[in-house]
Amino acid sequence: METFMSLLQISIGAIFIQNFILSRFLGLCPFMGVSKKLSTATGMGIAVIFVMTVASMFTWAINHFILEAYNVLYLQTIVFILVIASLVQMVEMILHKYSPVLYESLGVYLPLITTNCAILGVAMINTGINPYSGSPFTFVESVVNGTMSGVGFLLALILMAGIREKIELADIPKPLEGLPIAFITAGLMAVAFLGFSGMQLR
Amino acid sequence: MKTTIQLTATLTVIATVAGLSIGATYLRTSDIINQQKTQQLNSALESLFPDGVEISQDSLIRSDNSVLPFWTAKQPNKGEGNLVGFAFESGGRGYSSTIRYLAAISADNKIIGMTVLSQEETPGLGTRVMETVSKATFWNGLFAKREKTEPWFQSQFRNISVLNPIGISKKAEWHTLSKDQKAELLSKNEVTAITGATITTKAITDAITTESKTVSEINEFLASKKGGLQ
Amino acid sequence: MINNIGTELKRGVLTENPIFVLALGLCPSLGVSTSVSNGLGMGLASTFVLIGSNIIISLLKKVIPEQVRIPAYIIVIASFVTIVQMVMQAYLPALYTSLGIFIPLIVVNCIILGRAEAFASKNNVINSAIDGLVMGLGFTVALVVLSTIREILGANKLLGLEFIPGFKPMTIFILAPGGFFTIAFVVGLINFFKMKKEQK
Repeated sequence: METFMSLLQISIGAIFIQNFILSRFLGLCPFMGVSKKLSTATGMGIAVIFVMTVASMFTWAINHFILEAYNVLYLQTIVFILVIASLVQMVEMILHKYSPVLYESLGVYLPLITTNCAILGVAMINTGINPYSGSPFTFVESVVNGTMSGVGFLLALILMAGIREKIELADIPKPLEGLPIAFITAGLMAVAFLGFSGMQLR
Repeated sequence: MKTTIQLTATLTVIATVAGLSIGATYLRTSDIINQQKTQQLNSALESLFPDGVEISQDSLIRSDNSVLPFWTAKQPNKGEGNLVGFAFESGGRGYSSTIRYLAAISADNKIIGMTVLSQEETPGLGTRVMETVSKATFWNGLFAKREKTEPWFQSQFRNISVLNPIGISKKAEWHTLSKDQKAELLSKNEVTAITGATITTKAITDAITTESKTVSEINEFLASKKGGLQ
Repeated sequence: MINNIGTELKRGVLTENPIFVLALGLCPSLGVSTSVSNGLGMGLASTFVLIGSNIIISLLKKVIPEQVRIPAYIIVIASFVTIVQMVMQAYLPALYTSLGIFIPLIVVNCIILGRAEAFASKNNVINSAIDGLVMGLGFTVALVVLSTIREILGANKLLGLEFIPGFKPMTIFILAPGGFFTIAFVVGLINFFKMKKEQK
């Protein structure tokens, strides 16, 4: 029961309270880049959930069993980014071979994900202290944190794409067209998400 | 086949050189980083206790078999009853991070001082536990020498009793209060909350309240040590 | 070469500013721009990484095979980032703690990989170094602009000192939404002046 509560805390925290895009400012480039259409946004979001989950598993294990065990934590950044880059490649190849349908829909987003700082971000956060328990993230906790951070990313991306599709038809002052109005929209969404910040699960 | 070997070899060479240069930098900086950390802890300890006391490290084994390190401060050249107080490090779950702090407790179980060592709270809200109040403004204070002032949130813990629960007053922030109002708060064993960051405030008061057990454990340990010496 | 630096600087800071015009490296620019000291520190750290990786990649451009260039670039960039991280922790511990997770994330700053791919892999060492410097400065200037606005409006402070005595700050500008609003209006203003210029 206690583990369930702690996983629930992590999930709610990752999706709403500490949303990767709207509160932590991670993964903004794809957020601005692929949120023009709802269908691409959904595809990108699902690909991110997938890679974040797998990356959380691998980086947690590598950090715990290799970097910490051999006391070479200073290689963390370089090892993590290489692991993520190769994971993305591997996921792409496996999907290509075994699930052409999934590859068809996610394939184009996968190369973009390597430079998505949200993936490296979640791997780094997982090496730290779990703010809800005060002790380091366990394997299960870090995987749940990875998946749920991805879900939070998908949520923000879908909301944003839905709004941007409507904004296309709106009459906006000329200098604010394009990027600026997208930022203002994101800002208003962040205001809405601030409402979750009072939530306390203890 | 040849190209595969060539590709692997090039990447291996680059990775090796990169790894070696990182290792070299690590060897050069790790000592400084450790020194930096000890120095930070030492200056934090010194800032908590009055000037001229001798601070020494000690540790005790708690009831759950974990080791608790702490520091004692003694008045030099005073023989019996020279203990000023002791300090220990602890942490509390804040809004978005664990807040690590150092608390110094006097012989009569009151807080001599407390200082936050590390926190990653929301900028502009929770991070205000580190905020200092200064009369200097950007226009006259940019090139002036900056006096070191204690963050107001941390100063209000002075003389608060650790054995009683610490209350939170949300009316106004401590640094805006008059002397009488501050004294009134102290008599109620209360501190003021940071506007908009009550979670962070509560995290710290809760953390200190739960450490009352630690305080009595250290007290018992020190008393038994004193008894043993006599 | 030297007389080119003026035009190069104009390119990095104004016409091809990485944040305001190319919209790259958005995460660190919004994440750390809560105070001028953070913004400046982040900008200079990224500039150092950018110059270093541009030089090394330009030196190695003939050695690195086409097929594995991206992993090779990532290794070079990540090493520079780790070195910056350790040096900063040793000599500027306060800045290191306040920048936090955003220091290792310099690795995935699209500006750096972008310049490696688009410029350093095709040009000589000196030009690549200058390109790194210019783009880095453009990034730093943008960060300082954003963080100055946010620190003044959100905390009524500049470099940690009170800015307008008696002004009640709007905390929202320090919080996440304020980051989005600030960059939106700065980009909007730039577009506005650009359009005015074109009309003439």
